[in-house]
Amino acid sequence: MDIKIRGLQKTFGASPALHGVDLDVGSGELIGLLGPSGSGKTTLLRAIAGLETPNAGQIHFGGQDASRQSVQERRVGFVFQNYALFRHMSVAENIAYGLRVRPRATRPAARQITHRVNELLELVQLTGFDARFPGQLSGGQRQRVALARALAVEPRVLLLDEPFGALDARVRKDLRHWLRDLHKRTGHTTIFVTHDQDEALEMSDRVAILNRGALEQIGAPDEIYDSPATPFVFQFIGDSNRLPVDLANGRARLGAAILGHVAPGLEGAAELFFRPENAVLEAVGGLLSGEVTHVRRQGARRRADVRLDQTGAMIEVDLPHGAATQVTQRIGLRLERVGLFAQGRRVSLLDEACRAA
Amino acid sequence: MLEAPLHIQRDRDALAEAPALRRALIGFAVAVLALFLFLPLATVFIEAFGKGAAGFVDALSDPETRSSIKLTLIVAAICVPINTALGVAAAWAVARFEFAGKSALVTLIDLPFSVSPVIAGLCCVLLFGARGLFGPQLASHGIEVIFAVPGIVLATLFVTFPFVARELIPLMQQQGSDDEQAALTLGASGWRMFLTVTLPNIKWGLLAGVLLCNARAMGEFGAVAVVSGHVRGATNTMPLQVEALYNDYDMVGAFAVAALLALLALVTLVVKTILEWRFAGELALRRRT
Repeated sequence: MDIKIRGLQKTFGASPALHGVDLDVGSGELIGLLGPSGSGKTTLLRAIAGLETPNAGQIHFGGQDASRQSVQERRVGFVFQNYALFRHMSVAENIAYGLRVRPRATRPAARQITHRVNELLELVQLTGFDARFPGQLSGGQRQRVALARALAVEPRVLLLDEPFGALDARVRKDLRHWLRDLHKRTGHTTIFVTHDQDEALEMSDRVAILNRGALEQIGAPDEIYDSPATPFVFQFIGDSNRLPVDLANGRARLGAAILGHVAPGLEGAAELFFRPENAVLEAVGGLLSGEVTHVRRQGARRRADVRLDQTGAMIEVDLPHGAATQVTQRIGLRLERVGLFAQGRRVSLLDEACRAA
Repeated sequence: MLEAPLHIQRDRDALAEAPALRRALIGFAVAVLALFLFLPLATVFIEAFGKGAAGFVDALSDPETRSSIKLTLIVAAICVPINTALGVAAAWAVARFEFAGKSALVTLIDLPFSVSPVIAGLCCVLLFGARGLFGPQLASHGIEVIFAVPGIVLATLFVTFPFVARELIPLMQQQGSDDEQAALTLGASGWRMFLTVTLPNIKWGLLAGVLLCNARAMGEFGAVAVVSGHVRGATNTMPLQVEALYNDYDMVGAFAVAALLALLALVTLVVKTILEWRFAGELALRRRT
């Protein structure tokens, strides 16, 4: 079931939570909604489920307008951050709940319900746990029961709010793979909310980045990481350096160094972004140079702090494997995959001094 | 010369008082309790059985006393279900929705606790009495409120309103509405959700509230005294009957009815304690989940 969202707006009191979000989700896609806290990602998810009423905008499920449908009519599977399992019901009763509350005409027979519950327990690898109560399960097990309960009603879309938020790192990692795998097998259109970029990049077919109630960028994980569309995405995803740049007379200047040409007519302050791994070391004498002030190890890589000669700004640079770079050494730098932004908009660099992403 | 070995007190934490002070404080608390609670309670039962068990039974089989017991049960049977429903509704509104005047509503729910019951009774008289706001109209339709059962019910309703709501509001606020929303996404209707998810989640708190509401409904004196008119055998509830019998110097009769009321209080207290104990276990379980 594909989802089409147009101009979705929601305000809580005076503060807007979503302003004008457009989002298209293809049938069977796994989409990660990523953003800092307060970015509106959970509000968006809840609006899709029908748990929040938007002030404006439309939500279509498979061409059908769902905006006016009640929560029950939308047939979404929603997994809550704290799972919201019914604690007075056993695991089997929890999973069967959505089937048992159906009106008599559409309710499956008791035997079919039991069969379906067992099927789902197998799917989430909890066979034999049917008689347990939520209080007797670990976090990961509860999360899987919540998922089975949501899947029991054969939802049109599956919505997950911070699905791994309450789990410890180890379980998190296992469940990520498991959920990705489950999605492959069941093929539900799935949207999940997360504030963890690794989780979003690793699991999603496409990642949608939200900031202050607006969609900053949506794209495949590689696209998001390699060509961030906005300064926010550049800074929010991965590590990045930010340098102030002047635009004047069709040129982008970093201190005295000319980074390249820009379309004429662009004037004023701009910002240059690049990732530490896209700063390439070369001999001193090129476009940029600086002095290494600190070198540290971060897992597999070594990273240096460099003070740029051109502006005196501090930047972070990844050192190539085996480089004998030392503190106080002077190095030359060439930048690749940069993003140049003026007033939040991307500006193209017209020549090759600095290669744009 | 050998130094005295250091005395290490393992069972004393930093906040504990010195043993002597501790014993004094506990002793004082026990003495106060004994003087103001256990002693009067014992007196009630001693007086009630002053003429033996036969005297006690005799006193309770007096027709006027019988009638007062019956009236009390009727009033409680009307007020408790109504206030249970209203209390759940009020708690639901406060815990689940944001609306203008919410804090005013919470304050109003507490009003019957802060207002003297006598004033509640007087308000009833002012509204429904013979020269009250609605009294003449009601009287012309042959409806008696004041000095009759409806007045007693109204006064009791007012006084016992807060108990259920007060128990449920913090409980429902703490539980949040995720469980209920989960039920809705699974296709449950609102009513179905209430029966299968909300009610089981609040059942212990609700039961505690109902018990307290019932105890007060049966034991209310002030508000009922104003509106009942003290017609023996007709509009006297048990607390009023106790007073009437006492004023007649019928000690055994008065204390027999009082003993029944005290018994009710004791049972309520015991059941509520058991509930809270159960409830604490469930809450602890929830905290782990």
